[in-house]
Parts: sequence; structure tokens; C-alpha cells
Amino acid sequence: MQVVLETKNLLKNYGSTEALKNINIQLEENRIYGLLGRNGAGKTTFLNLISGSIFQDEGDIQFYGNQLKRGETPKSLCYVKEKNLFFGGAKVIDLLEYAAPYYENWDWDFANKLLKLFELDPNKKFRKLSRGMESLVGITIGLASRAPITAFDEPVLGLDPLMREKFYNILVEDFAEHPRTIFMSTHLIDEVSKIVEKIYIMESGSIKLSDDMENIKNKSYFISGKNTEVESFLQDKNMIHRETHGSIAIAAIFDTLTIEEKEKAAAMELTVDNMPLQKFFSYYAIGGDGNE
Amino acid sequence: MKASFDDRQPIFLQIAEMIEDDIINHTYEIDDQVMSTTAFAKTFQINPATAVKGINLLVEEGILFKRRGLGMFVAEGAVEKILKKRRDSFYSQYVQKMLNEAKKINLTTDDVIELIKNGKRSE
Amino acid sequence: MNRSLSIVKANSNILKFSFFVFILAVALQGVLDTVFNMSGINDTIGISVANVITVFLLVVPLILPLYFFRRLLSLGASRKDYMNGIIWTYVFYSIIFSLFNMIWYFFESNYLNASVREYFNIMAIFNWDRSGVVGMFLYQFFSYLLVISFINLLVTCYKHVLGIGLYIVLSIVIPVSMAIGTLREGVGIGLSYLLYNPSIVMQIVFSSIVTIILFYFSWWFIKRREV
Repeated sequence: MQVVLETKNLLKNYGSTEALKNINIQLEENRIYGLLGRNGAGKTTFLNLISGSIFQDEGDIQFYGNQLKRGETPKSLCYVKEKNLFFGGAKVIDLLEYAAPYYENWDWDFANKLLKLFELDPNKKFRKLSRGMESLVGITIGLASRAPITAFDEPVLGLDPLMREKFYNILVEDFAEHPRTIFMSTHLIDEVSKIVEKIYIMESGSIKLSDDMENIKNKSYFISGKNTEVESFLQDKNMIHRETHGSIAIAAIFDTLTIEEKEKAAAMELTVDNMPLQKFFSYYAIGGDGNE
Repeated sequence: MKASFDDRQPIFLQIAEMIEDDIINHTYEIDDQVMSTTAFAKTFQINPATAVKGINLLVEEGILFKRRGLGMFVAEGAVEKILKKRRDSFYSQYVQKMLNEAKKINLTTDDVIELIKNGKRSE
Repeated sequence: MNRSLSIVKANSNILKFSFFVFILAVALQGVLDTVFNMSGINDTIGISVANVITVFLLVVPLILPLYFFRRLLSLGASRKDYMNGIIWTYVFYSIIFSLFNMIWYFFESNYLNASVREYFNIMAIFNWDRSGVVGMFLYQFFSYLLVISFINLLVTCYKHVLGIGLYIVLSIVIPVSMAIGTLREGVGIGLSYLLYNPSIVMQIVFSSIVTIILFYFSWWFIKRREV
């Protein structure tokens, strides 16, 4: 698999605060990646860096093995910002026309189809759009660009659940027919769990975890039962959260459980449940070491 | 065919299982082409890579085979292989769970056998 | 080229509104002027209406670096696209306003009754009308572009330390050179080479060189500007 984007020890400071510390990521061709993190974790700063919008203090950014020089904009990337700063007075269709020349694979048929699907009036002025519709204009540009690498920063902000679902569906359908690399920041892990292949979790400017979505699903469990039993079962497991209610304990672990271990748990009268990803994310991103 | 997935096991396993179900209930016959990964992705709104993983699992087990440039097809003897595999895991997947539960509510294995034979609920 | 054209188009969308406001202000000024004239309060020399409207050209390099840069880059353009695009925009508007001024100048000198009021036109002041119609156009075009490139630089550099340095240097150099006689003469000579050179070829060469240098400096700052 070809690596399309790689960052090496990327570092960015704002004054004395370290916005990003030593970020190393590697994106491969034709995969969908998720970038997860709470607000202020550094996701937007990171995306701004790889898009050449802002400049790193240290480290390298490489597209297809070529260094992104200061002041350059990566040709193969389409970056859809969280808050689009488009010309308020321009119509939606104007904005698409202004954006189209920058993307080699831009598909007008698809763009027009997207406008219909997203119920966007092409003749409406950008200034008059709701927050959700603003997001949809960005999404339309991101999808119609068919850029080899498309980065979305919180693309579904302001969209109702129905539109969010629509976006994910269209994304995955178009991806199936036109594979490319998608890099999407979000804090809604459950929503993207079926379409994202690999995720990076960012916390206070560092990558805290990078793993395949499937692995994460396979490794996050709730173990509940008697306090003492839970304790002994979890001795060498990576616990990320724990609650006790009287003599009952509920522990969240991020670790593999073999079939034997699951049987052992059953024998100890412990309940093993799969953990919803959103729970995993909140425990993992917030707690970390698992101590209360 | 199922309409959606649950959280009990990874989606790629559920995809494999879905195809297996369709083979043992003869929706697909030997040498039939199964749904493409693209079609899977579009139908179930999942990442195509996940579908690839599920299908590859069946290729490894000799249940499906690949015709280059055409797609995936049901292999000779697929039904037997699936049935054997499912039967092998039947005990751990279903019976053992049942016995564990039975133990909790003070039913002996004999009680359970009795229940299965009579198909009745105990008081 | 495709990109630059689209940028000129995008700019027109933005500039439309500013131009409208500007024209309103000019019209208001015109009305007030006329009123004062008729009541005999004001007897200052009028400036050609076309010249006044052409002042809008100075507004363009204020708006683009301040308003347009981030917005264009959010659409996917590179800094280079931006730079090319705004230069084409400046060229476009310089052509438009040069032509407009010429047409108005003919109209003014042939049909407006000069005895009613004395008009001043930049064409006459700088003797830009000495080399025929083509000369009138070229003198204007290259002079406008030069002034635009200077303003563009001043507005572009404000976020950079060296830009602030440039402001400080200029704020010292300009008053000093105005105050000291010999320096003032030097500035006069310099400007005469650039803006009202008797030789149109010399003017084009000198002003182009300075314009290119000024645009290059703008580019230097743009490359270092974060979005």
C-alpha cells in the first residue's frame, strides 16, 4: 500500500502552549481514517498544518514522499474546514465554481447531484445559509473534488441526525466506486464506526492511540460482577475505567480476551459485554490509566 | 439476508456469517457469484475494506473462490464446510451458554435435557 | 489561467459591494459640491469625476489582502494561485479604469463647458496625453499598477515582523524626505521617472521593474502568512 501522507515529529507551539507535540501519522492510499479527540485536543491545528494553512515549528509533512514546503498547498489534498470562511455574498453555485479549478478530479455531475441530495438551493447566498447548510456546502466541495486525499474537519457539525446519516451513506457509496483516502476528524465515534477503517485518537496535542476500528471494537469490554472477582480477573488487564456500586464492580477494559478467558469469566459469574465505542472513547480519552 | 449488524461481534465476521447463511439456505448455489465488496459497502453502508475482510475469511476457508476480474464465487463443498464449522462451534456458542445459565438458576443438565425433549417451560 | 479567471470573477463578487458604496459616496460628494457651487460658497477647482471614481483602484488592494486571502485559500487555492489571481485582478481593473478615464477625458475636454468650472484631470497634470491614445492608456495602466503594487505590499505585510519594520521605516523616511530640500528633490526626480516620465518607454520600463519588485515582496510575505 502506498503511503499518501506522512508526518514526522510534527510540533507546533502557540506562544508557550504546545498545541501539537511530535505527531507521527501515516495515511495509506484508499482508506478511510478517523481523527478523534475532544475539543481542543489539537485536531484542527493538525489539519491546518497538513493543508499548509499554518506552519509547523518542527517536523516534516510528506505527500507521496515529497516534502511539503513552507507556503505550499498540497495539490492532492482537499481540506474542508470546520467553519468555512466563504464569501458571504456569493451564491452556493458560485462557490462551487470558484472551488472547482483547484481540483483535478472535480466532478460537476456529482456536485449537482449532491446539491439535490443535500437539498441545497444553488442560488441561495452563502450568508443566508444555516449552520448545517454551511457544513453541507463544504461537504459538497469535499466530495465533488474527488481529491486523492480529502480531509474533513468535523464535517457533520450543525447537521441533524438524518442529514448526518445521509452524508455517511453518500461518502461510503462514493468511496466504494471512487476509492481515495479520507481523513475525517470527529468526536462522534459511534457514527463513523462502520465506515472508518482506522482511527487516531488525539489528546492534548499528542496521538494517544492509533488502531484499526475492528481491533478497538474487539478489545473494549465491560466486565461486571462481584468486586473481588472483578479485581482478580482483571489483574493483568488494561483497565480504562471502573465503577463500584456496593459490592458490585463494573470495569471497562481495553484488552484482548481469549475464548478461554471469556469462559473463565463466565465461570467466575462475571458478565462480559461489548462496550459501545462512544463509552470507550470517553473513558480512554479522559481517563487513560483507569484509576478513579 | 440480515438488514443490519449488531455489536456482538466484528462486522466482517457478521458479513462472513451472512454469506454462509445464504449458502446453507441455498440462496447461493455452487458456482454462484456472491455480492461484490462494493455492493456490500453500498448496501450496508460499511467500509469496503470490512467487506473484503469478511469475504477473504471465506476464501481462506475454501468456502468462496476468486475468479480474477470477475468476482467471488461459491466453491464446491461449501455447504459441507460451513455445516461442519457451525456444528463444531455449536457446543461452545449455544450449549455451554445455556448450561451456564441453567446452573445459575439451579437446573441440572438432566433438567435441561428434559426441557429440550418436552419443549416446555418449568414452573 | 483558468484559476486566475475564476479568481477575477470571485473578486468581482466581493468588489461589487464596495464599488457600490464608493460610488454612492462619490455621488453624495458631487451633489454637495454642486449645491455649494450654486450657492457660491465653494469655488475650489473640481477634480475630474472619472479621476475621483478611479480612486476606487486604491481600494481594491486594500480589500483583497485583508478580505480575500483567507477565503480563497479555504476554497482550496494555494498561495501562488492567490498571488497570480490578485495580480490578474489588478491588471483587469487597471485596464478598465484606464479606459474609463480616457473616454471620460475625451468627453470632458470636448463637451463639458470648461468655462463653467475648471476641471483638473490627472491626464493633464502628469502630461499623460502627450503620446496619443495608446500612450494615454499605457501611462495610466503602468502607473496604476505601480501604485496598486505598493498598497498591496503595505496591506499584505502587516502580520509579519518585517512588515511592521517596513511601516516604521516608511513613517520615518517619508516625513524626513519631505522636510529636507535635497531629499525632496530626489523624491521628485524618482517619481518623475516612474509616473510622469517624458519618455513613455522609460516610464514603462522603470515602473514595471518597481512594480515587479513590489509584487515580489508581497509574495515573500504571502508565502509566510498563515491562513
